[in-house]
Amino acid sequence: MSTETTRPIGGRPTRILAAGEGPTLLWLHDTLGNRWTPGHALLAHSCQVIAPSLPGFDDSTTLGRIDGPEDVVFWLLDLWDALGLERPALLGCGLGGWLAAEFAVRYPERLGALVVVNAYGLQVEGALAEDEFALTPPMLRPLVFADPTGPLARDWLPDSEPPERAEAVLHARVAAARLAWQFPYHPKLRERLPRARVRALVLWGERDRLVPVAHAHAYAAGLPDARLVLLPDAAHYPYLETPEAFAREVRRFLG
Amino acid sequence: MRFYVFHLMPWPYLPPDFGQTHDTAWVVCENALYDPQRGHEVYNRYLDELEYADELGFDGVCVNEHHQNAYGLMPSPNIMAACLARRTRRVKLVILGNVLTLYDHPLRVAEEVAMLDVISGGRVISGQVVGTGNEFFSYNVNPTYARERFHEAHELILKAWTTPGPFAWEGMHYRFRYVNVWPRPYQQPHPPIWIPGSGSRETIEWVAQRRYTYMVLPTLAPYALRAASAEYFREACARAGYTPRHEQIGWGVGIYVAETDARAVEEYEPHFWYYARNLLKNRDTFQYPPGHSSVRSMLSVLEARRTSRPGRFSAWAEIEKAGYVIVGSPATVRDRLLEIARATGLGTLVPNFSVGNVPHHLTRKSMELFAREVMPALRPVNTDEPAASPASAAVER
Repeated sequence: MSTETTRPIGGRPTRILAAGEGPTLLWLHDTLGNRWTPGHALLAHSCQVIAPSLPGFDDSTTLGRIDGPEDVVFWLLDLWDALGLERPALLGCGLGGWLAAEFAVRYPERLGALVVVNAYGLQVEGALAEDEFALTPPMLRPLVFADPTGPLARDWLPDSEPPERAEAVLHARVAAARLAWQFPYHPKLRERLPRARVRALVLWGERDRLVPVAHAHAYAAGLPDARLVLLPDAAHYPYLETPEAFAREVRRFLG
Repeated sequence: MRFYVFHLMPWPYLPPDFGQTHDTAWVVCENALYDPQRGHEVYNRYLDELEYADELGFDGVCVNEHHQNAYGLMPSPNIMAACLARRTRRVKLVILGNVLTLYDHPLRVAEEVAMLDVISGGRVISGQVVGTGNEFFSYNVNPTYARERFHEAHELILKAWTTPGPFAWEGMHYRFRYVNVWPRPYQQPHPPIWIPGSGSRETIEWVAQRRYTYMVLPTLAPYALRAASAEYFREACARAGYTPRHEQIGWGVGIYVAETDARAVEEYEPHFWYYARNLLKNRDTFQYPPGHSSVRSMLSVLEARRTSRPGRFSAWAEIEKAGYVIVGSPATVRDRLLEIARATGLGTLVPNFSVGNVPHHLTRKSMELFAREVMPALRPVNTDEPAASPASAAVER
């Protein structure tokens, strides 16, 4: 299991989940919010996994002055200082993958490695990501889970959230919408990718229909030192759907 | 009491199986369903009905703003108000309201409302709204900024109307080096302001502090919600140190009057169901985008849904019992409204006679019966003392 601490990062109280020993892997979560998943747990066998909540996700009333990805990049610099991070591996999923890429194009020298997983962030012609804020859970499940009727899909994306999780999910959705509303990308990120001079793994659940695999190819083509691995049995959440395959590929890449 | 006829200008020609084939009348409801030839006839028919309200002695007519949907066909309420400004002579023109959050240029609202006010000789009432969740999808406005954009745009518009220009505005969402609106409004210091709301306590508190009129919308709300809002509004005014004028308590409500109770229900019911089953059909995601309301309000929405499922009505008896609409003979409607007026202090009634696809001749008949046989008895009820400067126009800082 992970430990949970809350500490101020850049003036914002930040919940941080962590487990494991070894080289540091900083994990930036997707729009669902900061939850410990099977993917985290498996990687914690060989790494020190540190998973901070992105600004506003645990309490959306603290979103002030977060207006775009660049504000999160500055917040990440505060995180680096507060945790004394030295060239960690940075792994981001979905929205977190976009933010990881935004950091990498600006501060590649601060990273040991970059992993982007089914990431938002790029404008890819003819492959606009579906609008996750417009679709109801029953509409969304077949897009983001390879097995949309299984227990995993129903637990992570139920028709209505159980009362004990309702408030947390609402806060996470507000914070997610602040950054990812309608067009979850920065139109200039793609031309900036060559600046991310760091070893990179583009890891993608191939059956993702929220962020189509064309985005994986665009990341792999734009990053200067990228390996592309497609996971055939997963959709948008490989760390939930096929965590063993996910962790194996990340481990193999990190060495 | 005063009477302002409301219109949604709905699309009345959705196919009979719409409710089975569509999950929403908004945002992505395909515009192939709109027929411009029939649209020509529909717009002019609806405008005729509002002009008729002028003849019948109503105090005002109301237009409103919605985008990309079959529910209400006035993406620009100011265009509709402009049509009415030159074709009516007496009625107030209530824009209920301009969706301030959608405009990167709120000064456009300040300008257009001032134009209408000057053209009409001071007949404009300026309603200002955050907008339904749907509009944030249709106009790609980030809903997590909804409340702050609304408040900033409101302050900017008010200042543009009341402070001599030019001046500079440096806000969070809007920056204008030169604010200097020509024309200035005809009514001084500015047109009365009405704020529609659906019961949010934050909104009610704010409206009470500003001494505006609080208008309960949508027109289809249960009596209990309206009464609770009116009560909460009065308490909020007391907290702000005053007793509200009756005109500050406003309700939008579906009303239908016919010769007898039985005939009224018989004539009205099918058109009501057209509204409830087609035009109200919507996805939760469109209705409640993240951040559009506070997390606290959203939790109470979810809680209310767990205990009941409003909006999924099946029987007319439920509608009548919950008091969503007021339907009946002139005597029934009059007595019910008198009862409501006494219980709540209501002074501004905003009847919607053309809910769903009520046809033109029935809309006219219902308006006539209301004007002739209901309105006179209600007029002297909940009437305010004339104010030196109307309370709803006061600027409280």
